[in-house]
Amino acid sequence: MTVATEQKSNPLALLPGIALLFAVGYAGKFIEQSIARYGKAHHLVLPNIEYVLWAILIGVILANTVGLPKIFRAGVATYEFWLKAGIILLGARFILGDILKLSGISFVLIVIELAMALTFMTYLGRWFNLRPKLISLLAVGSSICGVSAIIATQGAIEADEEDSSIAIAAILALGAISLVFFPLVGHALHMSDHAYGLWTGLAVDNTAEATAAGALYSDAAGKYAVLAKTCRNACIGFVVLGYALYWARKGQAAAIENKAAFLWKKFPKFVLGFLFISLLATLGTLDPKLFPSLASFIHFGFNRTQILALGNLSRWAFLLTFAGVGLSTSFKGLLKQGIKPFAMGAIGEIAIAGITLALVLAADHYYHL
Amino acid sequence: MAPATKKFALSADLWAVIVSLTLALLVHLGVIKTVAW
Repeated sequence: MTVATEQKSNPLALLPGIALLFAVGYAGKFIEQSIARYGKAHHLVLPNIEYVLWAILIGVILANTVGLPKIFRAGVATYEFWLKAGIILLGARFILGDILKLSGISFVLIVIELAMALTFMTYLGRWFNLRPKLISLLAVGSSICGVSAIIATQGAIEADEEDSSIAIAAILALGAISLVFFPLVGHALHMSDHAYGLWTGLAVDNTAEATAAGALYSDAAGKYAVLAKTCRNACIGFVVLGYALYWARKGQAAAIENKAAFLWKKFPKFVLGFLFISLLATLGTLDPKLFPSLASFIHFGFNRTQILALGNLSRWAFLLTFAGVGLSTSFKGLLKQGIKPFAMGAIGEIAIAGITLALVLAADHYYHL
Repeated sequence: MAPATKKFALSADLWAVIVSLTLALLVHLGVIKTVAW
């Protein structure tokens, strides 16, 4: 029985794993607070290491030493759900106008990033002599949004399960590495929260790792990373459609009859939830005297206390996500993928990280992010 | 790994929307008043 069918037949089977996510995440939060309290009590200046890192570290250590007993697996796999719930609730901390402004810049950079990353990864894959559909999966995974994009593309281009597993393992391995390197580079370059968040949202592939890499830098950077990554996720349908049409034309995948339905099916629905919550948060902040035409709608919006409560609910959801990222990182599984896809992924990721860093620094220079 | 993730990923998306909007409604109605962090 798979994790999914087990979960569908018995939702109670999720509870032990969710409890473990909470225990690991809360342990991370407890360590962060304990260090801060100790430093304050003893008048010491200790480095502020975010709970994100502790939660991931505890999870990685547990998963790779004692291992994850079967009873916890279904619940731990829910971290993708907590991630999406966290993103939707985070919408309360964004005013719609800011989203339009920031996502405008993000979309321009995303289009450039997508074009360069897809082209570069395709040529790199050919140079490494990898199977064509594996190249497509790695290109999609590294240019747009990690695991979700690979899974969506696998179905659309009818790629092998094995190719999909290899591409996912490569993307996850590189995501784990990015958690260490991105904050280091960000601090070395003294990047602003906004610029750093934008960079991680553009360059880190998997949404969970992009969120974690942003939050490792600062709370504000985490917020911007989520926004940029959400914009990138919103493009998933178009890229998958492009690949599906390409392979269908070659006669190696089913033809797409209804393109609009295909786009809707692949569109990540949590993006709409995020925008809706943000709309309600924006409504609540409007002054009825300044916006008389919207006066009758303003009471539907959230007030400051409600925005704070939703923001904190989002933080709890992310806490479970980060614990899940650590608990799902298996070094053994990552080593199984073979050196070639990993090497191609690594070279591609370094190039994408470099290109997006240059783009963000240029945008920061001209638009003062 | 992939088939399980695939089925779960599809449902996780919609479930996240349903659960988050329910939580937001509870906050808006005052059923959830404050959330500590």
